[in-house]
This record gives sequence, structure tokens and C-alpha cells, in this order.
Amino acid sequence: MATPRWAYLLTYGGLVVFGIIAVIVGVPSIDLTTPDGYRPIWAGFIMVSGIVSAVGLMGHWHTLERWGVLFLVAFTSAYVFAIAKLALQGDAGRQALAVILIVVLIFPASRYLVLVARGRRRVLRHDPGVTRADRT
Amino acid sequence: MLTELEPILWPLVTLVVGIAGKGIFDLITARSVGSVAKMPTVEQIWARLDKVEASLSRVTTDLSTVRRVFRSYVDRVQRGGKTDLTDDERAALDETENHQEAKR
Repeated sequence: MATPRWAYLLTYGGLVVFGIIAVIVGVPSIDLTTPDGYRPIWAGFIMVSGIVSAVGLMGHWHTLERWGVLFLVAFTSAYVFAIAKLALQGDAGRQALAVILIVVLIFPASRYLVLVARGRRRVLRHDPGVTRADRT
Repeated sequence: MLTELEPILWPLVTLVVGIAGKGIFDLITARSVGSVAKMPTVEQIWARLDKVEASLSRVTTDLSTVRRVFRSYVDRVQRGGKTDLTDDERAALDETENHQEAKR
């Protein structure tokens, strides 16, 4: 029913590492689409919100984790938008479509994770009764 | 219009969409943000209690069904029947796993 917590923790930790790499090595897509000096701030937001999300997850502070995850998604998805802008340079309609698709796909993606965590389980849809089992 | 925005504003757009989404969700579910900010009416409190009662009674029914299926399984095996699980018994077994998971 619930996605395992270690999977979330792994994701948050991975994004923090991604933020550190973005500061040290650099992210060309972000550098090309944003003004100078924006990348460290952007990566800093990813790192801080990743740490906040992990702390909220570990401490069961759901409000804290909710805010952390929102900022994490907001700043990490900016990278996806930057790639979309570079790939579809000048084609505003397609870029808008890409952004809308990403937003819409959040629901099927989260549903997929829930179903993966749930596993292949049968559900009792009717009352089998005693007599039926007795006959077998 | 969305693409006219500067890239710096992209995170802000996502933040606004996320916060607005939570606000809409709270409005739909009529969840109180704080007991002072939005106190449920008496009818809403009774409706909530009915909801809780309904879901609890569903769990109880499921549980008694599962228990009866297992009892009939034990009876069958004791009488020298097959130990292979039928589809219903499998479903009952899976049902216990679901509840175990919900416990956390």
C-alpha cells in the first residue's frame, strides 16, 4: 500500500548528491538557459530541500517533508524544463505541451509506484461462505 | 504563455501549482487547516464519524470472512482434504498481508 521509505530516502539523498555535483562540475543546460550565478543558488535549493525532505521523512514530520518535497520537485523539474527549452528552441507550443505532459504524468507515475509497492495481491471480492470450502 | 516566462520563474510556477493543488485538495476534502481557521460544522463531524464507522465495519467484515475461510481450510485438511489453497483462500491470505502493511 505504501511505497517503501528507503526508496524515498534514496531519492532524496541522490538529489542532494546531484546538487553537490551541480555546484562542483556544473550543469551546461542550466548555464545556457539561465543568467550567470543562478546555478549555485539553484543547486543550493536542491541540496537544502533534499536534506529537509530526508529529515522530515526520518522524523515523521509530514508538513516539513511536504514543503521539502515541493521545493525539491520545483527546482529539480527546472532542469527538465531547461532541457525541454534547449531541445525545442523557439517552438513555444511544443514546449508548453512538454511541460503540461510532465505535470499530468505525475498522477500515473505515483499510482504506478503505489501499485509496485502493493505487489500482486488478490482481493476478496465476495463472501466465499463455509459451505463452498466444505465441498472441496 | 507558460513558455514566455523566464527560466528562473519555472520553480516558482511549480511551487504555486503545488500549493494551489494542496489548497484545492483541502477544500474538496473539507479538511480543517487549523481548528480555528476552519471548524467543521456539526453535520460534517457526524458525517466524518459515519465514514470512520463504515470503514471500520468493512475491516471487521473482511477480518471475519478471512477467519472463516481459514477455519474451513483447517477443517478440510483435518478431514483429509487437499492442502492446496483455493482461490478464495489465497485471496484471504493476501488480505492479511494488506492489513499487516497498513499497520506500518
